[in-house]
Amino acid sequence: MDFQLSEQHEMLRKAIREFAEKEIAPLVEKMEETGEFPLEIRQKMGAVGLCGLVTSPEYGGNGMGFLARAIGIEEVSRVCAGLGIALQVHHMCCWPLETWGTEEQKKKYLPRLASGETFGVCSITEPSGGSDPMGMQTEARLEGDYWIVNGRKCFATNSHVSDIMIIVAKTGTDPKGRPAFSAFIVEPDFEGFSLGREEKKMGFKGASSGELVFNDCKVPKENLLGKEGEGLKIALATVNRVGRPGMASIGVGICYASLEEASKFAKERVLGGKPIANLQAIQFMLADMFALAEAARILNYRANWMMDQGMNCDTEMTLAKYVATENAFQCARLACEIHGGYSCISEYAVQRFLRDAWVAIPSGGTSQIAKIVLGRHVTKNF
Amino acid sequence: MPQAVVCVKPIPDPKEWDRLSLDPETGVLKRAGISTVINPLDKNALEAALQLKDRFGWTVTVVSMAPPDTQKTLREALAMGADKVLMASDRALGGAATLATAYTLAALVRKAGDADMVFCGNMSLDGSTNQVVPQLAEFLGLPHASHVVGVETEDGSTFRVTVDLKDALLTLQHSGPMVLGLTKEANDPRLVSVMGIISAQSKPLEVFSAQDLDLDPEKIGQKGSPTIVSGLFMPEIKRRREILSGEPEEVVDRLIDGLREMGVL
Amino acid sequence: MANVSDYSGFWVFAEQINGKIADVGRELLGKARELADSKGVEAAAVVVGDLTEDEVKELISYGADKVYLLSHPNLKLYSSLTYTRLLEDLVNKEKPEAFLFGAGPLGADLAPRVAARLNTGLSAHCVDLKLNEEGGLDQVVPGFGGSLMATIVCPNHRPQMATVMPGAMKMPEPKEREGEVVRVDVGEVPSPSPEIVEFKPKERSAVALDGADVVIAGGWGIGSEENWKLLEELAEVLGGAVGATRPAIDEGWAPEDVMIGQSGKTVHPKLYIGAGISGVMHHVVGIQDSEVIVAINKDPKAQIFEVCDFGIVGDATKVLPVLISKLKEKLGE
Repeated sequence: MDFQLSEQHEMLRKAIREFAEKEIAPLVEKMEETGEFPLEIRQKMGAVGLCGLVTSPEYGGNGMGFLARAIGIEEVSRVCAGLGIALQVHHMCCWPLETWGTEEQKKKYLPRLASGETFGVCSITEPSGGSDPMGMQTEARLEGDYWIVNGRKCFATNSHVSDIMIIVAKTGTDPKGRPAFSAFIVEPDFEGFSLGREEKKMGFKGASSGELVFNDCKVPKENLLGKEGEGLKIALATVNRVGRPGMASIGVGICYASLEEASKFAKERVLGGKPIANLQAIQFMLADMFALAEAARILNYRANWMMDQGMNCDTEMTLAKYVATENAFQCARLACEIHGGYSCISEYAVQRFLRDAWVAIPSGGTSQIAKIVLGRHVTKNF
Repeated sequence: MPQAVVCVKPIPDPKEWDRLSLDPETGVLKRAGISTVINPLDKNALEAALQLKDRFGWTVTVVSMAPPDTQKTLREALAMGADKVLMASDRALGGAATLATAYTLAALVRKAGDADMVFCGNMSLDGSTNQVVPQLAEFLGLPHASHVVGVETEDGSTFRVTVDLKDALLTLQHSGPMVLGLTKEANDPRLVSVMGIISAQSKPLEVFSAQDLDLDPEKIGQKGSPTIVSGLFMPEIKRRREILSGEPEEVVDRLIDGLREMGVL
Repeated sequence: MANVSDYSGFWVFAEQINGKIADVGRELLGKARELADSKGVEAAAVVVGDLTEDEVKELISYGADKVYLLSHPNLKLYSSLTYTRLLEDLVNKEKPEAFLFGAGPLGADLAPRVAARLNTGLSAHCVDLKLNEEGGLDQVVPGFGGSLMATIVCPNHRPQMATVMPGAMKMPEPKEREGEVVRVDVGEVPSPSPEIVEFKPKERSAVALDGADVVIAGGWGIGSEENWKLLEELAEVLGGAVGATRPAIDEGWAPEDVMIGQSGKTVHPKLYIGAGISGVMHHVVGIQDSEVIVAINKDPKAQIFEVCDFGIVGDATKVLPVLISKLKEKLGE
């Protein structure tokens, strides 16, 4: 057992914290107001190395790995969870590309993603639902040199700010007669592709998320990712190993942001001549927040560390995601409670943390879905 | 290849200074648990040197006199882009006032080889003495400029250095090495990147003892320091809360006197 | 190490920029005079520049028994190497026990080099100087941005050198006194090296809020756009910047980008003056780092009085004009 972060990881946290406070913090107010994604931040996030954390150096990344990614997303989300989710979904495009892509695909797409020239999309969810992939409606059929894709994806993070998208579509049936799916790499200027509506969200404001529309969209044959029929495997692995820990890291970031703001406020806010931090009622809430934040962080670091070791960690990732996003909501709620009436005013960040935490819970699978996975794990193993 | 030498000091993180306290028994400063960072203005110094590296291929060497447990902090300078760190770490160096510090740093600069320019932060935020730059220059026998707000060069050999004298700006022109003390107006230091962090691990960081540097024991640490700290105390930081009421003429007179007493007029 | 008993007298380096002697020199002379009197020794000023006896003899009235004048056309502009050499020679000849410099950009640049040349101690940015039982100087300096104060002594080396913050010592009243200007032979003075290619006095321009040493902030209590001009006038007199609270900005009296507080800027001036501001938390978090806080408000129960150093209970629009005219009068002196 070794709970000490390496010198490199500690330095990474410091560097990303400085980056987030210097480059991201000034953007938050406008993102909240307009809901617009600040395009110029992509290359800055690329230059500091956030975009290439799970991409190998030979494809333009730095390959620092998943624990580093957890720290990076956590620090970004501590300042702006909206950019936290943009980054985390971006990695959900990079990782399957490197894991299943052909050499040509990797060389073509990964350097652009790692540099932050563009952000990536990984989209599975459809209007009919996200957690039932077998019910997916989008279809693709091979015609000559092209796959012809028809259908509609929704809630796709980075939809309107991306030039490289991974999507999954039904491509027939497997030998047992079940639907078979394949993954594709899509570029927005492919014929038959268009962007649908961009959602107005309660939280993660300024992160783009919207619809991808495929109307006889022509995807070149060489843009099939992995083998035909591997789509579901690719999608589930990406959600489990990249999407969930990404959401967990956002949750951890919100936990600590809430804790810091609440403590700062409690020390500054004077009632009856003394800071409210001296009141036990406030100390109890701060103690609860601390416990929630630390528990979330340790679960998340363990899961990501296992990923870096090449261990099977699907259950740990799900557990981390469930605990961290729920704890984020609890922490944000307590921070709001400590702020009293001030929590209702947009000048105070805690109300944003609460909204962001709420949106983090269903992203990447609701808590109830996570509990199904965890419940099965318990009955099987204990 | 020309070489820029940059003096870097690890200091307790200014964001955490409200947690500093004095041991009531010994009167010694308690700084345990407070993280260490590169003195912020030293990053401006490093940035100026790294720009010479980017533009003209200079080598950038960082020198520091610091306890051994600050190596981690100094690696950040490598992560920013410096090529190597030479560090003086020795119990005998402890308790140094600026004169002994400058003497020790001068030995490190010489150890680095020919310095074509020496960059420092104008001051360290913890001590804020402003003294090391001129004194280091004195020991190295080089000209110096402090309060530097701009360093320009067309060719990497003739430098125009702008100094802020508060009421005036003075521009010096010089070819050849100088010791410069940079302020935060001089440039915008680059951020550490992940790539920098990874490459920092394989760059050299050498630690020297006083003996390795052939330092005169009479000139280092407490022994080499003409000044000594005879006492430390925490200032009363409570607000005065002197409430004045009455005719505007009277209260304004009292206010102006009060502000003069507090040294802000 | 020096033979401490060979050294006597308190010296002040009275710096000049562009031929004008800076105030800090006069302030320090007041202190040097006081220290010299309590030991029964001399106080002296040292001026390096291109000046006449007449231009420096006023320093006598501020407390100098002697004014050492080192004058030459090539000394008009500051050059650390030349100034250091001249001061080194003078100190070695006259042997003062203490030598005080203003902690402005010139004094702070020169004093350390002189101290290193003389192999003696130098304390930085002193806020207080007093004699200790051994007759040495106790020099009080701030550390960690003022979170901590330290007393520095220099027991075995002479002169005891210190730089002192401008404004830290009280400006003495000038008096008719006896004293002499001593012209020091400076010999050949080379032109400054490194070469000075430009000397540009700074024009006083609008000060940015972020780095301002003085911040004047106004709130809803100012009452009108017309009254707001009082704040601008006061800021000009003190060389500061104007900030505002949310309600004043909503009224259109000040632009959005000068808002101070939770959702605006955090300022850390030496002097903050808040007028017509009640002091709700929003605003107070942005001014807490100010060295001195002055509040002017009609309401004696206003929260800002809880966090101020000086509070004036009164109508800001009546107090400000008086403050402006008195400051103009006193600062003009």
